[in-house]
Amino acid sequence: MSTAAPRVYIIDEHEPVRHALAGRLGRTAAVDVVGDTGDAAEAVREADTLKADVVLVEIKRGDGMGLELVRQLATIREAPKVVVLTSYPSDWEEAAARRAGAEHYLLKEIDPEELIQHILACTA
Amino acid sequence: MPEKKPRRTTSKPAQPTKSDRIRSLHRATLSLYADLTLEGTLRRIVQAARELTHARYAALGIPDNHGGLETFLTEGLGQEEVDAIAHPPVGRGLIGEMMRTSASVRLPDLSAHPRSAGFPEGHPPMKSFLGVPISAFGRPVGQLYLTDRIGAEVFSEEDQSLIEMLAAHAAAAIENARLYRQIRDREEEVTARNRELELVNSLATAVSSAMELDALLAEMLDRVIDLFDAQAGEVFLKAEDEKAYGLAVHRGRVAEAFWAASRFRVGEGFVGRVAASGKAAWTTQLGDAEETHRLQPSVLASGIGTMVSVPLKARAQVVGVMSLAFRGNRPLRVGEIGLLEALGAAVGVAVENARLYRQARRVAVLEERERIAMELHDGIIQSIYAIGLTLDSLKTMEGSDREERSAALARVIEGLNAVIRDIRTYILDLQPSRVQMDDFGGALRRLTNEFRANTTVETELLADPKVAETISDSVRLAMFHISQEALANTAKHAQASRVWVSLRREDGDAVLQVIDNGRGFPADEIPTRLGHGLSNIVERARGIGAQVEIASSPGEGTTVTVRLPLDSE
Repeated sequence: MSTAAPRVYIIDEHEPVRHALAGRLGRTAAVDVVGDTGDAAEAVREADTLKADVVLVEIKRGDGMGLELVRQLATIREAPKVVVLTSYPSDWEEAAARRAGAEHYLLKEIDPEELIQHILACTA
Repeated sequence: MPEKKPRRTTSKPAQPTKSDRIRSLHRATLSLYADLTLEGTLRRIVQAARELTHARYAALGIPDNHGGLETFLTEGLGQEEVDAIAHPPVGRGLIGEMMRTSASVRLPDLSAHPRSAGFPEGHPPMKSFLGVPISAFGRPVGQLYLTDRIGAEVFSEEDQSLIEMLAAHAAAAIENARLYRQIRDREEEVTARNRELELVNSLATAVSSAMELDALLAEMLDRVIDLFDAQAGEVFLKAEDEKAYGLAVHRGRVAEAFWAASRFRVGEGFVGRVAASGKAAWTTQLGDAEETHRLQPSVLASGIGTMVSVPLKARAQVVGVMSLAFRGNRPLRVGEIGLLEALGAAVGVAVENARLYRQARRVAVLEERERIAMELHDGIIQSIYAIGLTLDSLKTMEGSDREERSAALARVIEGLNAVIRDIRTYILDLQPSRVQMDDFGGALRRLTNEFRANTTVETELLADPKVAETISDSVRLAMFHISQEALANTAKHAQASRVWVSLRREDGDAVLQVIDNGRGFPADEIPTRLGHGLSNIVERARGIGAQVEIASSPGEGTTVTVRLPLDSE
C-alpha cells in the first residue's frame, strides 16, 4: 500500500474533457496527474513509461480502440488499474470492459470528488 | 302475313333478259356491302337470291363448327308460317348433304331426292329446289337454298349461275362482316383488357407510392370492387408472426364485415380455406354454403348471395385473402376468377412491399437514433462534461489568484459557445430526410445557405445542373448526406473561414467536392479527427458505388471528394 498520491494518466480523444479533467484532478493533492493523450498508441506507451497507477479511459473512441486499450493496459508489466470514464453508457460495454480488466465503469456525470474517491479506492 | 306474298307472282308477262338479270345481280351484290353487321349482310344475301331467281322461298344456312347450323335465315315465309314449323332445320337430310358438298344442286322435286329427310311438321310444301354452296378460300361458309321457282317447274341453269355468282360475292361479304364482328369483339375485349390493365397498373402505382398499408389496401380494394361491380369487399391479412389471418379492411355498401369472427386460423372458414389452399374459392349460393353460420346476419339480409375469395400472394406465400361479395346469385366466369387471382397476386406484392417499406423505415429510424446518440457522445456531452469539470475546478480556486480564475471562466464560456455551435450543427444534421430530392441543386443550395447562417463560415456552391439532373434519386440523397456530413465535420473540427461545395462532371464521373480552408490535420489522423462522420461518408459512398478521397494536411484545409462513374448508373 502506497502512501504517495496515485499517479493518474488520462486517455480521452476529446481535448477539452482531457484538459478539464487534468485541471480539476490537478487541484487536489490526493492524486497526481502524470499525463494525458487522445492517441491510442501513445496511451499504452506513456502509461507504461510514466508508471501510471491508475488510467482513466474513455472507451468510446472514433477509432473503435476503446476496449482494446483496456486489454492492452492490462498487459503492461506493472499493470495500472483501469477506470473507465465514459459519456455513453452501455451494459454490454460495461461487461466487456470489466472482463478486459477495468476496475470501475463510471459515467461522465460523476462528481469530481467521487471520481477521486474511486481512484483512491482502487489503489488502496 | 299475306302482304308478304311474293311480288314476282304478277311479273310473269315481262320476262327479264339475261343482261337485265346481271344488272340486278350487280345491284344486289353492291347492297351486300352496305351493311357491316353479319345479320344485316346475311339478310340482304337471302333477299337478293330470292328476287334474282323468282323463288317463292329462299333460305341461307351458316354451319356451326359441330356439323349443325349456326344460322338459318328464310325469306318468303311469314312469321306465322315460321312459327308453325315444328323445328328449324337441324342440318340432316338434304341440307346436311349440301353442307358437305361444294357443288350446286338443282332438283325439280326436292322430296324425290334420296337424301331428303322430309319436312318437319307444319312446314309448307316445297317442290323445285336450287342449292348453291357459299365458299370462301375453298372453305364452306354457308349455303343458299331456293325453292318453288315461280313461273317455271324447275330452276334454270341461268338461275343457278346467277346464284353461284351471288354466292361468290356473298362469301366475301360474309367474311367481311365476320372480320368486322371479330374486330369489334376484339375491340371490346381490348377495352375490357385495358380497363383491367389500368387497374393492375394503378395497383402497381399504389404499390410504389409508399403508402400506409391500411390506406393502400382500402384504395386497392375500392378499385377492385369498382371493376367487378361488387357490393362490398374485404381483405384479411396474415399477422406477420402468426398462423392466423385478421380482418384488415372492409369496404363497400353493405355490412361492416362479412364474417362474425375477425380472425381465422389457416384452414378455418372460407378465409382460412383459401389461405390454406392458396386457391380461389367462391359460392353463388352463400345462403346454402357450408360457411353460412359464420356470416354476419346483415350480409344475407342485404341480399348478398355470391362471394368469391382469392389468395393474396407474395413470394409464394399467402399473405392475405381478398373477398368480394355480390348481390344475388351472380355467375362468375372463369376469366373473372383468373383476373381476380392475378389482382390478388398484385395486391399481395403490394402488401409485402408496404411491410418491407415500413420495416426499412423502422430500421432507418433506429439507425438515425444510433447516429444521433453517437454524435451527442462525440460532441455535446463531452463538451458539457468538460465545462462541468472546469466549473468544479473554479469552486476549488477560491483562494487562488484572479487571473487563474478568469482564465477558467473564459474556458467555460468558450466551451458553452462550442456547445451552442455543436447543437446548431446537429439540428442542421437532422434535417436531411425531409429534403426533397427532386430539385437537387435547390437542396444543396438550401443546405449551404443554412450552413452559412449557422456557422458564419463563408460558403460557396457550384453545382452543374446537368449533373444534378443526370444522377438518380438514390445517388442524389447519398450525395446530399455526404455533403452534409462533410460540412458538419468542417463545422466541428476545421475552424474554417471558407467552404466550397461543388458538383460537376469530370472524365465521365459525377464529382462532388467539399473543400474547407480550415486548420486541416495530418493524414494519419483522419479516422480520429473525423470520427463517425467519416465512416458515414465512406458508407454512403459505397452504397452508391462511388469512391471517396479525403485529403488533408495541417494548415492546408480538408478536401472530401466523391467520384461516381456516370455510366454505372
